Amino acid sequence: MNWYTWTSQAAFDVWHDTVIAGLGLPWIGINQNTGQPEPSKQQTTAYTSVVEVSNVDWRAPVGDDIALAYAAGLGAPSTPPPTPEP
Amino acid sequence: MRLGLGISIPGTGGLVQAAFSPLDLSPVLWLDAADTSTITESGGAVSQWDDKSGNGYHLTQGTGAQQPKSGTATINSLNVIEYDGANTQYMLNASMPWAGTSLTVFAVYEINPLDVQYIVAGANNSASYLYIAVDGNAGTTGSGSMTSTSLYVDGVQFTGTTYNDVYDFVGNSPAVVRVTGTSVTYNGINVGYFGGGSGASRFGYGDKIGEMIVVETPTAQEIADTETYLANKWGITL
Repeated sequence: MNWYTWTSQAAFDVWHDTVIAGLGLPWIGINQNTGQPEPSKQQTTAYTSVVEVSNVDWRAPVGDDIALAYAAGLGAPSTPPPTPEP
Repeated sequence: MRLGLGISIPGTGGLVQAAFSPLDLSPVLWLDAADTSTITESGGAVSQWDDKSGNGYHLTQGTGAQQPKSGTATINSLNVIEYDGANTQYMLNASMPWAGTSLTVFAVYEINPLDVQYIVAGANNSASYLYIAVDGNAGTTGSGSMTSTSLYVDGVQFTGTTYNDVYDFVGNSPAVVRVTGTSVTYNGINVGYFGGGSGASRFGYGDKIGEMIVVETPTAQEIADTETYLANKWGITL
């Protein structure tokens, strides 16, 4: 999992929508014990989420497999956004 | 006729106390990764971890890249939730109403010493959390949105003052952790990562959580019973 940066949220959204469509999200989870679908439980509806660092710097973590499979529109390699210390 | 809890032992005429259950504490929250029927996942990534307290404060995470894993690691041969992402994974229930209360959090953790800064359980954004700092360069041990906090690991009270003191105290083997605090100022609970995500991690690579029980003002006996229950279950020596 590495961080990438987009120059706008719109640019991120275009790429992320492609990933969502490609992965076939949303996914209905299964019960780990029974293996049965759990449609009433939380589904996986997004691949990743973006953090606004500035109005031209929108960062999100992306797995290597997804970065390779969805290279078109992927942001530039970046670093984790700063975190406010407690 | 024999009345009361327990079972009769033939030949003794005595009663044996029923086995302890966290439900005896009327907990606010009870998460148990060993009970895999409480875990909803896709390819091992957890989208929901059910609360066994009966209060319905289930933790959820709908974003795949932020979902911790289940079925990938164990403590004492029991399933645990494992955090292995880029320090971004967490599960959240934003409505758990613990503001204004005094709470004790019992948890079984195993910490990766190379990648952790906090033992965490808290509310729902970077400004409102309960944490216990376990690494870092300097500073005092903190507890986020709780005050008058005390920390016990395997039944022993922490008395140090720095992040590194806590790190050394907790160590990197499975541990029964107990945090008590008063005047919680936020609702909600977040188990995992907080905030934007600098190189300094929160609950990160290889960190594991087996069980968490949140109780309001437990008695000394209830504390002892809970820690003994967790230690026996997860193979930890108090």
